[in-house]
Amino acid sequence: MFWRKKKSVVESPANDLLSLAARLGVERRLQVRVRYPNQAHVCKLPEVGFNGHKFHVQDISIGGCCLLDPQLILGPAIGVEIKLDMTWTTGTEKIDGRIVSRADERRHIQFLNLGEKRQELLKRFMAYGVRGLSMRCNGTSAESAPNLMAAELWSSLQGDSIIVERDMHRLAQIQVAGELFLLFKEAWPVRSGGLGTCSKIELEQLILFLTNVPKLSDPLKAILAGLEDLLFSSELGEKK
Amino acid sequence: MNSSLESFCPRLRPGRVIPQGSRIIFETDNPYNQIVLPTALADLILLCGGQFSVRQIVEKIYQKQGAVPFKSILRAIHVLHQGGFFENGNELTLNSHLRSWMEPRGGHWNLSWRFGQRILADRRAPVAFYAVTMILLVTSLFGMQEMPGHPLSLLRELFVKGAVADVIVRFLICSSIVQSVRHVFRAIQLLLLTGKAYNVALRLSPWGLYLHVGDEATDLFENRLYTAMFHLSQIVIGWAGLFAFSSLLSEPWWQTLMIVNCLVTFWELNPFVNSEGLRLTQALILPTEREIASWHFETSHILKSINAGASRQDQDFARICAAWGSSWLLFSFAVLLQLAAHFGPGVLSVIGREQWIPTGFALAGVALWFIALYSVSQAFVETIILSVMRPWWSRVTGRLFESWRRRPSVIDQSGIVAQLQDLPLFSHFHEKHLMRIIEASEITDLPDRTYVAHSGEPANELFILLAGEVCVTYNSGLKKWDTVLGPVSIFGESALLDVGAQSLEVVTKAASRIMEIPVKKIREIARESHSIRELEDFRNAILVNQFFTSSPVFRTLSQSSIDFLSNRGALEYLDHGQIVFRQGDTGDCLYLLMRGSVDVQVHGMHVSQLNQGSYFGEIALIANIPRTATVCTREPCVFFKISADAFWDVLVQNLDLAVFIETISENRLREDLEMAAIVRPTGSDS
Repeated sequence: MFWRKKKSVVESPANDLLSLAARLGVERRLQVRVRYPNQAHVCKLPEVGFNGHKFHVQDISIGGCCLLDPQLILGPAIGVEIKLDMTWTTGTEKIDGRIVSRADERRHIQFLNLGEKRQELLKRFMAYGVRGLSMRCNGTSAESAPNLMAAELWSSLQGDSIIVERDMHRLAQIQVAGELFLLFKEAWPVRSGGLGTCSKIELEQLILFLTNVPKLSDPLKAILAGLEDLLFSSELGEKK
Repeated sequence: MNSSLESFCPRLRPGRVIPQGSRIIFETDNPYNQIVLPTALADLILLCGGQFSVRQIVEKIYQKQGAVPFKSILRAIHVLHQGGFFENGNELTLNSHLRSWMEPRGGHWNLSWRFGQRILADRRAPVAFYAVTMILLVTSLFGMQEMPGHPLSLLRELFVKGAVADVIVRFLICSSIVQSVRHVFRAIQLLLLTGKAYNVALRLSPWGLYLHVGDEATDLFENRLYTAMFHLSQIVIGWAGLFAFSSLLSEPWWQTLMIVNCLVTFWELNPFVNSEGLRLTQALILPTEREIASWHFETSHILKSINAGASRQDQDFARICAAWGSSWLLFSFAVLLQLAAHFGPGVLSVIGREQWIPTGFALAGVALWFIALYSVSQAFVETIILSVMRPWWSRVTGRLFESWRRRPSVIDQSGIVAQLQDLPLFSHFHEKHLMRIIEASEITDLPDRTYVAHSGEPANELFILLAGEVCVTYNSGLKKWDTVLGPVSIFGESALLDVGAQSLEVVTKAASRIMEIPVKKIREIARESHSIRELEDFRNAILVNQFFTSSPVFRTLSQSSIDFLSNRGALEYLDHGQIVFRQGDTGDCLYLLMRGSVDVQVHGMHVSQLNQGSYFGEIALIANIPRTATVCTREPCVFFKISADAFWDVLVQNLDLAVFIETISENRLREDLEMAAIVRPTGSDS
């Protein structure tokens, strides 16, 4: 008889220090780096190229990016200034960059003249990735002292959470930026409260969010791969 | 075994944690016993297995998340404790400060339905505020002159003319109108002066049903004159309304409104409750004392403030509190006596009759009268003892013991030079300079239990205990400690800081020999002997220590925490007009303002001014974000910079301090946010 259950609710006040800080729109680090997903291109993040060659971007910030250059198209030199082609949704534009370091096939490029408007735009596109970066694993069902009724529980102080379920069909619940998504096996994510399936842009946001969660566990990696496959197959469908 | 909150190891009852979206439900084996918490507190729940203390849990959350929501965590622990979710809940003992913060404050006889978080105005208009308030004050003076005679005669007349129920209903309607008018004008005044009014609500209280506007925005007042005008106008505003509408009202309504105004004014002048009179008293307190005062006012009532002021010899502060409090109490005596004179014979005659209901009412009235008389008398006696008797007694005993002092007949100067050379302060002085110091000093032999220094006396001398024992007592009202010093010790160091008055009471515990050195002489000789740098170092060390022991925020810290912070910080000197840090900078330290004052700006717009004794820079450390405001000096300043790690170490060890600092940070950040919303940023801070 659920109506007899008395639940006392402890809510964090909406105006506590951390939520106030979140409203201020400042990130914890000055130039936070957001990782790109492995397969999909999401959230209107810019594509980066050089002399007509498009690179796979590993991560990006408003100060620079890290490109994978296995073919040494950018050359081995460090300190060289180059003209990058940045492709936004509105078109491609050239910006100046400098190769500041090299490790294996990775090239770290510093942006020299990325305009203020572009920086603001990039910050908006990166927002879900930044949210993912502040996620921390609270515990797993195996290790926690009070019995945790989920395989894994992740949360951040901004109020986002990931609950990895122990269910065959329902894989996870993801609460991000105030929206709750339910993830089922091989199915498009569903918005909680009977609001139907999520949109493509929301799926992209979920992918960017999960990609940037630090120290991703194996179940979450599998969920992320599944979401990327979904997006990839939907894009193929659109092309056909 | 009872343990404090920091050392308490919370152990949840056997149960399970059910995550659901942004919430987690903790359910004990009895499924009817559940609690819902935000997911952000999942770490707390999962660490409450009994292995870790609250301090360790906080440390672990900080290590994992980089920030700690202290208030949410402590509130959750309190609710879990109250709900009986801890197996070992009986071991937890909360200190009074934490308990008063965690537990909802009682004593508010009202119900509120809030329908507005805040109202914001486009711009401020202080001149309009001044004009509106002056009109209100002048009009209310005219309104008071409308008073035909004694208010109690009016009250009696009302009861004689009309039925009791009719009078009560009329009273409630009038009181609701007066309160609503007061709060509407309060909102107008706040919007004109600060551009903000908070917590608009419909309130039901013994004053009736009326529109209520919170007075939180008064904290944004910077001008004492405006603050005083605001509170004064709030006390007398009903009279202005009476003057404006007196010609439109019929006699019984007019009389009732008059009575209501008398009651409201009388109540709002009461400085022993959270009234406009109390706020007015705060406004009259000197600016340097406001921070200390608000600390007292928040935690206690005016008597504690008088006590704290008197013991710290902040004479102006104590005098204003005492004068206001005792005046109000004397007036209350007069009102009580008048009540007895007007209604006493009638009430006593009712008691004599054999009618149960009127007799019961009359007896209740008599009981209430005696309770009021007792409360007023007690408060009056306490006020007089604290404000008049205590300083007078200290002065009398001080003078009495002064006469017992006597100079020693023989002074072994070379022996004293050897003793002085053992002290770090004088170790750099040459022997001939020390001889000059001794010649300029006064050396006295004092018997047991003699006052050497009184708190509040002019601090012009440094004392050195050459022989015997003294007991040093420090009492600020909030914190009291005493220590016993043996030879060779220095006390009265505050003289080196030019603070003007001693802050300690020093009494001999045995027959002692004391050397009093004029500070001017020490400075003069230090300059001649090129030891002025050592003297400055010594002075700085005293400065830091005195800041921690006297700061309203930090003085509750243990000595070990103060030593820890003192060792981890460094002094920094900045001239007038220099920038301490800019909005958007990475924050890696906390600043304590030892001397001077600073301006706080958000996007170039002035937000507030911080004075000596304040601290800033804590928001960036607690929330782990870049600086939210620019701080620049208004005059030459001395700061004590504390690194982020040391700051966090101390916060984790002192949870009530953490809660206090987090609360202040929230208020400051809310201000910054509102200013950021009003002022459009001129450039990117990234």
